Amino acid sequence: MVTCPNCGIENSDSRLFCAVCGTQLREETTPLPDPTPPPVSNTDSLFPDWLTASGTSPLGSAPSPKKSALPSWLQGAEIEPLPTPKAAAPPPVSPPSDPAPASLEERTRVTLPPTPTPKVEEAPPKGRSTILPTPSGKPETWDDHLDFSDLPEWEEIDVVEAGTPLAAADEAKEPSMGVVETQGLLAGVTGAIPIEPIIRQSRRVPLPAPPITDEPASAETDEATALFAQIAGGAVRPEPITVPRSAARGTGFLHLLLMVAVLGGILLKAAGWELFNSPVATPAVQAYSTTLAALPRDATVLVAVEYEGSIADELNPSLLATFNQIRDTAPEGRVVVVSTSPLGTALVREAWDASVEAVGGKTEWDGVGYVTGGTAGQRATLARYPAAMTLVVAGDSLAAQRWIEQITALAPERPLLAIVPAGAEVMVRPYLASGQVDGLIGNVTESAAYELSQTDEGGNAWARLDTITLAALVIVLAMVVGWLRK
Amino acid sequence: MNLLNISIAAVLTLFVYSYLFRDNLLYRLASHLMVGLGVAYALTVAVHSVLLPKLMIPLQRTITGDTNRADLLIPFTLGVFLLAKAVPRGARLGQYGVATLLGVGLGVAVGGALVGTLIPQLVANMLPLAPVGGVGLTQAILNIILVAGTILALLSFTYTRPARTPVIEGSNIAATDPPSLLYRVGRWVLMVAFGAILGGTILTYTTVLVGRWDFLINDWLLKLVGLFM
Repeated sequence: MVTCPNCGIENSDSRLFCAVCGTQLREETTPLPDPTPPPVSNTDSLFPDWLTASGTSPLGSAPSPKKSALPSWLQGAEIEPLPTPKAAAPPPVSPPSDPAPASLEERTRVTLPPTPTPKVEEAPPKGRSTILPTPSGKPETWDDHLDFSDLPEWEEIDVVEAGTPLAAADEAKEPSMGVVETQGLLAGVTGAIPIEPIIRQSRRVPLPAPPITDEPASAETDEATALFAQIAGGAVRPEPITVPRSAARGTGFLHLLLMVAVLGGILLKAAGWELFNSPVATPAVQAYSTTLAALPRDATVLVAVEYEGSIADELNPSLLATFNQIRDTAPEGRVVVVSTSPLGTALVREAWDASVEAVGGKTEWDGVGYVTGGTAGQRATLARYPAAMTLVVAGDSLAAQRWIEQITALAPERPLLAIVPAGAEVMVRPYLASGQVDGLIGNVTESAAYELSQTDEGGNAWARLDTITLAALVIVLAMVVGWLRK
Repeated sequence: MNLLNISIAAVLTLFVYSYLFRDNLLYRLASHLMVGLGVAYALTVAVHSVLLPKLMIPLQRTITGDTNRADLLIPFTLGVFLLAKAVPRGARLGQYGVATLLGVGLGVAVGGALVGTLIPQLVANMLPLAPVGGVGLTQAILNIILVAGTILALLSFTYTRPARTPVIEGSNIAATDPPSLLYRVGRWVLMVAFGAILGGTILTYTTVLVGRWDFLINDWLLKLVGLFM
């Protein structure tokens, strides 16, 4: 392992550059340290060295495999065999003379043939990264030996070299805020470890090592660090986002217009004006009314409720009209109310009391009350209170779906009606199309139509329909104006 | 007295509307009242409608010998175990109650979803696509639109479909095909449905707004003025 002189991180021996800071660790031609010797075989370790020094094991084990003269990365390559040395010609017979005796050096000099160059594999076709062989024969990591030079240019995200002032960097490129803040954060937190080169380093080209100096961090880094510390400590609170006055001016006018529409509609209706035509009962509303009209005189109607007070203004008018028709159709019957929300029974009771006051009759009220246990409680309640018809009053599509599923699973032949707000109508209407729900009141228009089908004066839904239509028109106008101004 | 109750409701409604100007003490008072009263009412209903009549009183009568509802000891024990989850040491005991709740609830819910939604909706989507057998041309066209829209909307839910990526020469990043026409049509079907849901939600909010204003003017202000006139 080699310790980086810049950051102090230990790197593997085969690395040329530090994996953390990019400092060059050694020259490319610098030989690697000797590898660790291979472990001794188990049988050899049992015998003393003098017995195994001969090279053969006393047990006569198989000879150790011949070590290849070539490293692993060259094995398999086509290497030209070494030229065989020519047979030394017999020395010419020289005339007897008194030649000078050859020196020991001359007599022992051996001339070696030139070392052949190993054949390197051909470069792969363009478009593929190349894995270059390493001196150790073991490419340890991708970063060591991958060459991306044959790849097309990537869009550089950060090409700013280490140490470049932030202002210059912003002019050249626009580093992400995360980079700048991370830089300041890490510089302040880590201190000695120069993370900056890593953040700003291109993935392909290792940057030169930053100069090791004693200069303090840049002013921008200090400012970012100080600001971060203040925010983390709670001394500084980020400024809240404010909407510019120019942008808010138009919305204020539309709010005022909406209020004028609502107020004007209510006052006009109170004065007896009708701004729009009476709504026509849809097939769903007609089926709703027909199903209620077919109730026996002593029918028990199970009212399954799951809604809160915020939505009562939309659902209670339909519920009131429904109770009026039930009390008229089944005067000897019974209404059983169960609710999976705590407020449900109280809200239904409000409509029931108004119905008693309006219509009278002897239909009994049986407020079972709050039912717990989720879907299991719903199923148990449905099994416990058999009824001739079930009415589901739900404030959202999920609540309506849960009740409809359990009723369909338990008593598919029982007539089922539903009252839901307009926001849930889209999700509940498929149950009407599939025949699981026999009648549906899904919005204020259908509610007003149902009221008018029962009485000539209508009810709260009919009284508010004109105002709601006016307000909806203003909202559509606001959407169009907003889209045009965009 | 009725006018007093209405006046309290009207004043609290105006407190909430004061948020239109800015966050203030009156709005916070109304919102805190709503949360507190809601929780208190829910707790009261839970105790008086569920715990006392369905659990505690029958158990008490079982102990005194008036009735035999020893089977209620099981849900009582599971409920106590569930309360043990508030204590770190007793959290393991609460797992039995949670397991019972989840197991029964999920079992009933899945069964209901299967029998109550999936199968009936599948059957309902099997519509005649040709104007034969008493089905008119208009109805057949509508059926085709309905079935095709359903299938395309389901097909557009391809969570594992990779996002479209550009082709880079020399890289090993596999280029994906651009979104097909059917995929885009399915997305448009979904957007139409979501737009309809949004429109319905806006209508609900508008209805509630008009309902509150109608209450303030007709049920409170006019009655108050009539009281003094």
